[in-house]
Amino acid sequence: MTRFIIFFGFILSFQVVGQDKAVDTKTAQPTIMAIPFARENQTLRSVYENNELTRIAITKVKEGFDKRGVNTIDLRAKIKQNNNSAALQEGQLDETKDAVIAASGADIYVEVEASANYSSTGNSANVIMTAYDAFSGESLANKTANSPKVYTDNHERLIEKAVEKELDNLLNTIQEKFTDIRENGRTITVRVGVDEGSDLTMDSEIDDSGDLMSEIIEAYMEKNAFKNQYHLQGTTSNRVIFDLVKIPLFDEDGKNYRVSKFASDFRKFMKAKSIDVKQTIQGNNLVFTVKGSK
Amino acid sequence: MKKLIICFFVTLVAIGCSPKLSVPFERTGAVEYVSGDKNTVTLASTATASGDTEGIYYCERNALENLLFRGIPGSNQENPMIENEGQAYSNARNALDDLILRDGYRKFLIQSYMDDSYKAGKAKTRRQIVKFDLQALRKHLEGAKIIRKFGL
Repeated sequence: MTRFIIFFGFILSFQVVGQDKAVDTKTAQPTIMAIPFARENQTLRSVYENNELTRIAITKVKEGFDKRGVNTIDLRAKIKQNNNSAALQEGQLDETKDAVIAASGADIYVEVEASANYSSTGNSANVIMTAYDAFSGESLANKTANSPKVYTDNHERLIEKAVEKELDNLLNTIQEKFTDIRENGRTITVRVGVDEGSDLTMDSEIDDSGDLMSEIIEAYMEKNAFKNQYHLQGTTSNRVIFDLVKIPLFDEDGKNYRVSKFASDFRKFMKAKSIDVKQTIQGNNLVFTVKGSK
Repeated sequence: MKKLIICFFVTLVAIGCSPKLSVPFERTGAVEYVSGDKNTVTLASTATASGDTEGIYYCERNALENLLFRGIPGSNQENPMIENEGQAYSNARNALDDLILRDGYRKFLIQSYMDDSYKAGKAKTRRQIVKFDLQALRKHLEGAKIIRKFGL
């Protein structure tokens, strides 16, 4: 009996060893909105309503995203919602796209441009899709899709053919960017400048250690950047610019790590060094202004 | 005459007992894109094996492994479905073995038929057309936690 139990236990141990490791990491589902590519002096609404090819392409792109289980925001519904409201800001053309994106709450927007080609050897359609991070404006992926040449005027079908050939590739490229962000963190830029009336410069010694202000700022970035990844673009007597500082996607508790948290921590660090700093956050760009010593 | 019969039988036994030609599976890049649409991809996969059954399996497996770990150039699946093969195996070896080695992939195989075959020495090289249901395959990979769902 004892032998049987030992044998049984031995077999069981193999079963346990053979099981896969449970990798259950949480996935934050971003929301995506497909929008038409708008040239200068064009509003999103006018392009959407006047360009049938682009309208078809946007619908096909949205369909493709929905198929992959991605949370999408419908541009037409958004436009209807914001109809005649300040979000569309007719007349303020430069801000129209930004305003619609901001009002939509989308994490990613995909600019879609469609065109038809006519030739004696058949008609075809081209669709250009470019995905951007709505928060930072960083380009995530871009694909140019071409349909085969066919003797047809059914452009809807041609566009569908073009979109379905490249949509998965677009999504997979975005997903690869996401994986990279998960593993290596988000990229932010940090600029620390000295106010004109400040009694400090970047070359001022801050404490008894003899470290210059620029040196303690760089040491802070080195220590607090995600996986110590940062890049110092340059230092002058009144400015330090980091064109790349990595911050984590989630904090230690698994909550979203906000850029404002990084900014707040840096400001508190400077305060502890008796330096008064003002902060401005714009997307992924942090700007700090050193007002002076306290 | 008796000697001849003995010699014949000895020869027969020798042939019968000689080890069968065994061609191990080798993942190659011999997988071409044929066609694709929203939910499927059709591939032409070439592999060499000792027999027909083995040949079909090698072709299907080669197509699947290229689709999963390498991506298919010029197709709607240019990027591999599984970004990091090593990491996927260390996280979900059993699930991947079930899918690839234990015929689990057949649930996602819509079509598989021979396109061409020719003798290559004692082995046989075969070109097989295989069509996979991408959406179902992706859902399976997500469910088995081999890949993550779309998102951060």
